[in-house]
Amino acid sequence: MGTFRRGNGGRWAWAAAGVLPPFLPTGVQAHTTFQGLGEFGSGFLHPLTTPPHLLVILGLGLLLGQQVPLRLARPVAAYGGLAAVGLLATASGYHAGVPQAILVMIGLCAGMLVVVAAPLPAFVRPVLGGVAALALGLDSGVDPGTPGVAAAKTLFATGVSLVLWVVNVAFYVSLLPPRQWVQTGVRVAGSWIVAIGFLMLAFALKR
Amino acid sequence: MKTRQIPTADSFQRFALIALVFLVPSVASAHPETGGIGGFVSGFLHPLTGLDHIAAMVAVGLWGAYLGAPAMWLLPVVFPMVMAFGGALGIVGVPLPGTETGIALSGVLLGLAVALALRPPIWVAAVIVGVFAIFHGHAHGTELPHAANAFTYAVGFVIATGLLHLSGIALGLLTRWPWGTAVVRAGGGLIACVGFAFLFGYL
Repeated sequence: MGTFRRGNGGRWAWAAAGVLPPFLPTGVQAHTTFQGLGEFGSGFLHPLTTPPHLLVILGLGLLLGQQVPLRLARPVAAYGGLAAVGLLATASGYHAGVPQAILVMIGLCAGMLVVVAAPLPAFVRPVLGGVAALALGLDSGVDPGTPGVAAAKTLFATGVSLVLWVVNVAFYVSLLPPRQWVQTGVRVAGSWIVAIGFLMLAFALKR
Repeated sequence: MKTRQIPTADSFQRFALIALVFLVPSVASAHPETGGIGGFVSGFLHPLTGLDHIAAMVAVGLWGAYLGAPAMWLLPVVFPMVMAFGGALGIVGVPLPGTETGIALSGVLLGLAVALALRPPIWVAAVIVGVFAIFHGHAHGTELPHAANAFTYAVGFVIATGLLHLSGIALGLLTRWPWGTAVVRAGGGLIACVGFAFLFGYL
């Protein structure tokens, strides 16, 4: 006859209660208004001033640029399309955002793949780009009270910025010479993204 | 004919007056550990404030350079990732026994590896470096200032660690010359001595 260990359920519940909070939605990373920049400028700078977003953008850009040959059409189409879907979702009333821990984990995955520096199957880049873009888009909503035109300008600028920075990083990384020490420098940058991601996850767990 | 102006008593008084302005006390520059910049400075300085940490980080770079490519680059790639993992354990409060001993031993063993010119297989070197990285990271994570900005602290911390490795690699590149090899091995010996001093409580 099987025995039922009474303590286990409780222990798992405690463990889940300790680990889950950072993965729960906490509200969008609302746009900071930069004095004198207006809605477009503020929206454009938003991804650069939100640490988890920056981590994802850098990780993904390095990963796309590191893969030889540089093929950006499909990943950027998926990335841009799903970023637009995420941003439109926030415009139509989704304000829960994406947990910081999930964004950090996406950046961490991208960083880890940069460290490994192995050629990836063709489908991985669009899939990873799409997931990252959806998360970034959903986490970049404007405050609920923002007027329609201002919100549209801000979200449009954020979308442009999200795509532009990833493409820029990828393009310039792809231009780097194929010398071993340069390529290792890219991997070192990836390892720094992983390290920063680990620490940010720990901070999120601690809270 | 060139004329030279002789400083007068009046100009000395003016100079003294201006100099005095710089000596007037202003608001103290406190050490804020909050905010973006405070977090970065705090994170950047953290690995640089302990001789045991500095010695071990430089030793990683030195040993990597001594082993040559690809170890020269592999070890500095492995170390920050594993150290950050150890840091994460420290931040969330997972205990790690013998942290200080592990840190001191890292100085001893990594220093001796350089001094004795040990050349183990690359995976063995990576495992040794990785194990010690956990101790270093855990110590940093445990001592973390509570009010630090998470992202900028992490960026500063990782960059400072990376720069220490790079300085070790730069020193290690001296091995291209015969006299440089002796200098690098002596550096390893010095690091091992620092490690022993921490291990037996002299530092």
